[in-house]
Amino acid sequence: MMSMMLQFTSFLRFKGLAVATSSVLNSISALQLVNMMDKDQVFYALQGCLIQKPEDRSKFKEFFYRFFEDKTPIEYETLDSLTRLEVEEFAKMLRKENDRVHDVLADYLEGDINGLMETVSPFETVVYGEGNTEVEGMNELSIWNQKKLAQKMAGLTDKIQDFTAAQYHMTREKREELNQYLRDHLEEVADILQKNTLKKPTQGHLMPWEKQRTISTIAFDKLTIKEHEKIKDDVEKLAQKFKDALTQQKKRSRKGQLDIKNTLRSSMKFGGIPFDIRRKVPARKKGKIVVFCDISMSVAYAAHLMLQFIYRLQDRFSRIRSFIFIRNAYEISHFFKEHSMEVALEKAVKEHHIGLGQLTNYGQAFKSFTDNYSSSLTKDSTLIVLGDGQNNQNDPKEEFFKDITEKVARTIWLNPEEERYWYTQTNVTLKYKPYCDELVECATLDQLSTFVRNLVI
Amino acid sequence: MKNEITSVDDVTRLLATQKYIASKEVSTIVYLALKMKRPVLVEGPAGVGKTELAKSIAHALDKELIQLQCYEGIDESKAIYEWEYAKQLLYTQIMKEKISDVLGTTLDLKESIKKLGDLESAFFSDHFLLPRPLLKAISSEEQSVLLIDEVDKPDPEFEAYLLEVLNSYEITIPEIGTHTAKHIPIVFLTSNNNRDLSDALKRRCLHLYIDYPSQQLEVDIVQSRMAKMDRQLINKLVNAVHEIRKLDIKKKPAISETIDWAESLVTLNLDQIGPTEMKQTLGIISKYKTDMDQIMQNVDKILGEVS
Repeated sequence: MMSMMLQFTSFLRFKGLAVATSSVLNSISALQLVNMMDKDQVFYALQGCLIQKPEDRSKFKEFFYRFFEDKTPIEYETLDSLTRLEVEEFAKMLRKENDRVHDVLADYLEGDINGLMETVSPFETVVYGEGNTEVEGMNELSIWNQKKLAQKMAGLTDKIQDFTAAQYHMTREKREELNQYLRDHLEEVADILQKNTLKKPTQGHLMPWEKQRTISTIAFDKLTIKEHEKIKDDVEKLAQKFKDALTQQKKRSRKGQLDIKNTLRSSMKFGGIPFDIRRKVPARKKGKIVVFCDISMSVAYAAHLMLQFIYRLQDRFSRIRSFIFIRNAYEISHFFKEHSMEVALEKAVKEHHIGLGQLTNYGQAFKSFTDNYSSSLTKDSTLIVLGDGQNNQNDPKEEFFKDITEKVARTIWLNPEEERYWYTQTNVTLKYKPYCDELVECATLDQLSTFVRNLVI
Repeated sequence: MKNEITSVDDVTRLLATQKYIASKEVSTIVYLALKMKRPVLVEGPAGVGKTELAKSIAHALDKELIQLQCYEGIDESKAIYEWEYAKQLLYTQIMKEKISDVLGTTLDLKESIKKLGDLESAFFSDHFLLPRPLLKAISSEEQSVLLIDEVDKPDPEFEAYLLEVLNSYEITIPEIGTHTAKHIPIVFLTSNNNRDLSDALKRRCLHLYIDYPSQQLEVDIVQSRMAKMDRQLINKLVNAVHEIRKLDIKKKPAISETIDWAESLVTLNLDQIGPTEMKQTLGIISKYKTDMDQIMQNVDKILGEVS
C-alpha cells in the first residue's frame, strides 16, 4: 500500500497538486482504517487527507479515477478509431527497437503513463549522489546523455514523418492530425526525460502536462463562456476579501484612546482599582468606494468580469457608487441595486443611450465625470478605475483626472491590458500614472487575487 | 456497547439517530477523525449542516459539546483562559486582616517578601482560573466534542493559539505550566471560506467539504425532519429549491432554508406549492428583494419541472 500511495501522490504532484508529506502519512493511516473494498470510502479518505483546498476537489476526483481506474490520457480517448489504430501500429514499430526508452515512448503514445512516471518519479529508482553524480540504483534511462537523446529524438521525428506520409488510406487532414499527435507526445517525453533523468528534479519546474489550462491564469479575454460561469464564485470571494482589506483597521482594540467611563465602571468589581483598562475602539472605517469602469469594445472581454466584481462589491459596501463610461460617464449604482448584473447593464445602456460602438475617450469621460458627479467624491473615498487606457489619439486631459484624484483619499487603477501595451502611442495609462496611488495590470483572476491580497490601506 | 463505532456505516447510523442524514463522504471523514483522533475542518456554504454535524455527533455519542464561536477580534482571554481578577481581589480583601498573622511581627522586610512570595502561587492557581472553551475541552474529565465555529472569522494571529492546541492538545499557561489533555477531544472546525486559513492549520486537519446535497439526499433530510409531510410534496419542494439554486442569485437557499420552508408549508396547512403559495412563503427561502424578484420571474420554470 505504501508504494501505491507514494506513486499516487507523486502522480498528484505531477499534476500540479501540492501534497504535503504529513498528508501522505495521514492518508496511509486512513487507508488502514477504511474498507478497502469500498471504492467510495477509499476515495473520500484520500480526498479528506490529501486535498486542502475545495477548488482542488474536482481535479483530485479526475486524477483519482485516472490513476486507479483508467490511466489513459484524455487526448488519446478523443482520437478516432482509425487514428488510434495507426498510433498502435507506430507504437508496435517502436517496441521492435527493444530498448527502454522506445518502450516508454510506445506506452505513452498509447496513453499508458506508468512507465514514464516510474522513470521520473522521485520515489523510484532514480537516486543521486553528492554533486549530482550517478550512484548505484540510477535508472537505466540516465545512461542517455543529452546529446544522445537529442540524436535519437531527431531520428524518431523523421520516422514519424515517414510513417504518417505512408498512410495513403487516410485523408490529408487525418494524416496531419496523426503526425501532430505523435510529434507532440514525442516532444513531451523527450522534454521530461531530458529534465528528469539527467539532472536532479528541481522544485517549481513545470512539466508539459502541468502547463494545463487553469482558469485563474488565463487572461480574461481568453476565457470561454463556461469558464466565465465558473469563476463567478472566485470573483465573489475576491470582492469579500477586497471589502475586508478596505475596511480593516490598522490595529484594533488596544490602540484606541482611554475610555474613562468604561474603565471606571469596570473598576467597580475590583473595589475601585482600575485593573481593566478600557479603550475606545476606533470607529470602523466605512470604506466608501467610487468605481469608474470602461465598457468600450477594446476592453469588453475584461469589462464583464470587472463589472461582476463591482456588482459583488455593491452588495458589500453601503457607500458605493458605480459609473460606466466610453465617452461620457454615467452612474449605474441604482440599476445594480435593483437588478441582476446583466439586466442592470442592459437598462443602463438603454436609458443613457450609450453607443457601445464608440471609441473610448478618457479625457472626455473624466471631464464629464467632473462636471456631473464630482459631488460623489469625498476625502474618505477610494476611487477604483477599471480600464485599458486606450484613448484612440484623443486628448487625455490629465488635469481633470488630477482634479478627481485630489478629491479622494486613494486612487487605484486596475488595467486589464498587458503592461507592455501601456507604452504604445494610443495608450494613455502612463499619462495618468503619476496621479494614481496604485496602478496594476489585472488581466487574469490570479492578478486580481494578488492585488486584493496585497492591498494595504 | 450501543454507541461503539467500528465502521463507516456505524457513523451513518449514529448520525441518523440524531436526524442527521449523512452522505458517505461525511460518514467516512467523521469515522476517520474518531479513529485517528484528528480534527476535522468542515467547509462549505452557509446552512448546509456544518455546525449541526458537530452537535449531532456530540448528542449521538452522549458527550459534552463545548462550542467556541469565533469572531473578528477574538483573543486568548475569550478562547483559552482568563484570570479571575475580581475573585483574586475579593480573596485579598478577606485575607487582609489575616496577613499580619501570616507574616508575624518579628520579620524584617526581606523575610516578609519571601514569605509573601511563597503565598503567591496560591493566587495563580486553577482556583482563580476561568477556563474558556479551549482550556475547558483540554482539561475536561471526560472526552468532549469541541466545536470551533467559523474559524475563518478571527485574525490570522489567532490561528497560532489553535495550532498549539490542535497539534499536541496542550495549553501553556505561563503562571502555572502546561495543561495536557486528559482525553483528546473530538474537534470540529467550521469555515465559510471568508479567508484562506494557513497551511499549517489545514495540514493538521482532515478535510470535509459539505456542498448543497443531491436531490435525493435533501428529500431524505426533509423527510427525516418532517415525518408527517407528504413525500410527493417534499419532492416538489426540493425540486423547486434545486431549480432556485441554479439561478444567479445573491443567496442560494441552504438545507436549513429548505427545512424551514417545509415547516412553514405544514404550519400554514398548505398541501401543494403553486405560484400563490410560493409568493406567500418566499421570505423563508430568499432574503433579498432582487432574489425574490428573480425567483418569481422564473416561478413557472421552478415549479414546472416537477415529476
